[in-house]
Amino acid sequence: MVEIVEPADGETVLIQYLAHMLGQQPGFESVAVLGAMDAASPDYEPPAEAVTVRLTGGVPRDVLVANLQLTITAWAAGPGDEIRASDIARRSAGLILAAARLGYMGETVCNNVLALSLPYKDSDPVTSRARYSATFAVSMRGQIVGA
Amino acid sequence: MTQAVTKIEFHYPAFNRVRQSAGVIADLKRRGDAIAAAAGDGVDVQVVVGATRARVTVATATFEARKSEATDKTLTQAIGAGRG
Repeated sequence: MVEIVEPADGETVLIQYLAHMLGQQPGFESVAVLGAMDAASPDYEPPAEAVTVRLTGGVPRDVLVANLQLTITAWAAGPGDEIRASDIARRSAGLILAAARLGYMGETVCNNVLALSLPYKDSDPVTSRARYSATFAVSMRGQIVGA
Repeated sequence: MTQAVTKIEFHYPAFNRVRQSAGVIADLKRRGDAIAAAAGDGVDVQVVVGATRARVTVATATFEARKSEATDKTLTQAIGAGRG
């Protein structure tokens, strides 16, 4: 038999990590961190400021570790708040890059983070709200779930 | 006692010739085409040979493709197709 290794749930790990870390950053405590904003739905009340996390790909590094491609999008409250969206995105980027130096992202082992693109302006075509996006390759150790 | 020091001299013009070679250009084009195919319609591939290296650009070329990237990150999600 061989061990069954389940890749880390990168989106959940990063959402929990960013929510915790941003909550400790003065000026960023109220930024919501979530998986998606259903901004196109008429009844949806999006958070004023938010970071959405999306798994946009990835490849296995070896049997245990995967390099997951994660894209974050930082949303400001309105269409003209590009500076605030950039601030949220850059602080989030700094926290993500710090995970490699910490050795962990939350409770998941993380030894390497590569910025594939640092935050760039990415205004939302649906709501026109100011957004900045960035993409990272994050190494995360998987979990042995059986043999 | 003195020890001999090994000195490496890089031959940058040769590096540049390799980076601009037909094989590298073909490989870049293949990877770019794979990303564009995975991203869907309205994505263009352009190979440019610069002063020191060739490079490939994969970019949205239509309104629909740009909107798709802005809402669903279709081009970003296609980057993996360029590996291997």
